[in-house]
Amino acid sequence: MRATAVAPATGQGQETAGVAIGIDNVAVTFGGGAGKIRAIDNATLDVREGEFLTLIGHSGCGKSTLLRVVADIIDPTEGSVSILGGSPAAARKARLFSMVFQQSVLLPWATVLDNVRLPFRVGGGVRGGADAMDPMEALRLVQLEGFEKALPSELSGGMRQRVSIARALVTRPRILLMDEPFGALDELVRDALNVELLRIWKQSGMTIVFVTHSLHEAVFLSQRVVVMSRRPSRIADILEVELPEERGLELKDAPELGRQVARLRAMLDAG
Amino acid sequence: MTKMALAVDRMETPLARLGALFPAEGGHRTILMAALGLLSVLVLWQAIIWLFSVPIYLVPSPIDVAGAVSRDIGLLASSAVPTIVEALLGFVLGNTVAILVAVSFVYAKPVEEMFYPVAILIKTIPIVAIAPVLKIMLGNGIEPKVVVAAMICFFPTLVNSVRGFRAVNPQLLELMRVLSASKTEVFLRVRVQSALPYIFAALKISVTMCVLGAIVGEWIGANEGVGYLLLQSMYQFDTPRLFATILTASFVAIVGFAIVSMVEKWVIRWDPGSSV
Repeated sequence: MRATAVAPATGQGQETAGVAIGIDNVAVTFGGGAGKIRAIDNATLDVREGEFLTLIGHSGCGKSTLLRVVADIIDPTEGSVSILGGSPAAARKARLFSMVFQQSVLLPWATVLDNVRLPFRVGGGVRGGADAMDPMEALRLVQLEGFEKALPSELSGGMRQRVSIARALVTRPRILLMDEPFGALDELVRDALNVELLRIWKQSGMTIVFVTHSLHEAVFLSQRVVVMSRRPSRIADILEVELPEERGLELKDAPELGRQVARLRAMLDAG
Repeated sequence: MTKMALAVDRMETPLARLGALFPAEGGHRTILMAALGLLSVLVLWQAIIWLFSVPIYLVPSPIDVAGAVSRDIGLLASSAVPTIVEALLGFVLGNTVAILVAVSFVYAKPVEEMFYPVAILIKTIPIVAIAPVLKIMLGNGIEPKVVVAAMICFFPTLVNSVRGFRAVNPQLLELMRVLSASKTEVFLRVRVQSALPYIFAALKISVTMCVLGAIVGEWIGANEGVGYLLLQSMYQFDTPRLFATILTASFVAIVGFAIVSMVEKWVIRWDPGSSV
């Protein structure tokens, strides 16, 4: 079941064109001795350039951990990750990727505009400055113009998450890593943001790696859904989503989406 | 008339702003109830003095104390000045050192492991016991009073600052990592602001404590200040003035508390309780 969709791992010196992220035999172990936990057990996966890929699995299956390995927040215990041909650390320093977290993770004392500008103010700012986006344009992209002077506490949860997406987009990253970004929002807001995210993805041509535990969300957004199993924490299966390219809100209730969700559920149960 | 109205206008604007720093909702009721409580205590106190004919040299009545305040207002004010100076210098010294030590604890674990027990040891020494030592070491001037006031401020601010510098949303630290922020950038842009609510909570405690520290310092050797006046009044059995001096000390502490609270409201404009 597993093999067909998984491209072979990209080893050193191999052709990496078309691969945005190469995850090669990555394992992560936390702790030592008797309390040792193997959070990820030999995951291998290639994420294609320009692809919208979602990682899904039961809680504790290591999907967020895998995303953190890619983001160079956690070092893998075994295996390696390459991002656009380089190391995750090099990609991080070159601002090739941005990350959106489950919470909006804004500075509560800074205005919306200052939060969006944060990537320019720390870590030596942005490399190749001309590429960067005007923060106001980033706010327009997430439909928050007029709120630039507001403090995060004055915004709703959905608006705060939009600010964090604007902050992620402002550096014009080639890859966007999203760790359950809409998990804490109510369904209506989540649906609206799903549609907006697809629009932004289409406009930008970015590669997006998305983590969620919502089957509907995974199918609605993605071209491919990677199913992770629990104990051992591995990539169990991959669903190639067979849905039209243009996806609007009406698709959320369409029977074809339901059929894909059912397939995904079967994969999860098997994993 | 117009000129006067203008002058009133100008006077009212800053006052209104000052008022805005205090919670407005239910504010009137809070003040009214507090005043009512205070008044009933004073009435009860006066009634007990009258009923049991308590002599004035034992316990003065509120009316006697009020008389002493109006009679000795000049003396009370002039005594408050050195105490305020000592307390203020101690406040600045104690809190500055505490915050710097807290920073070193947060960034160097071995420093914390070595010196946190020392800080606790200093905390356990009664301040009244250490004051004579400081007098011998530092003489009869302002120095021992300032040091006593500083020592009394030090511990609460140290503990709270360490907690505050660590009370950073872990995802915020992950974000700063993804943005390749340096340690200094993380400190200046995240840790300081996260710690401010904790630091201000400590400052509000220490601003009242440093007045106590200055008074204790004055007790072991001074010829001016609130502490000195307290001892003088006690030896002279001038209990109304003794009580008036206590009121002065309390007034200084309350004003200090109010100032720190206002600065806090001005600095922390965000909602520190909200997790965003």
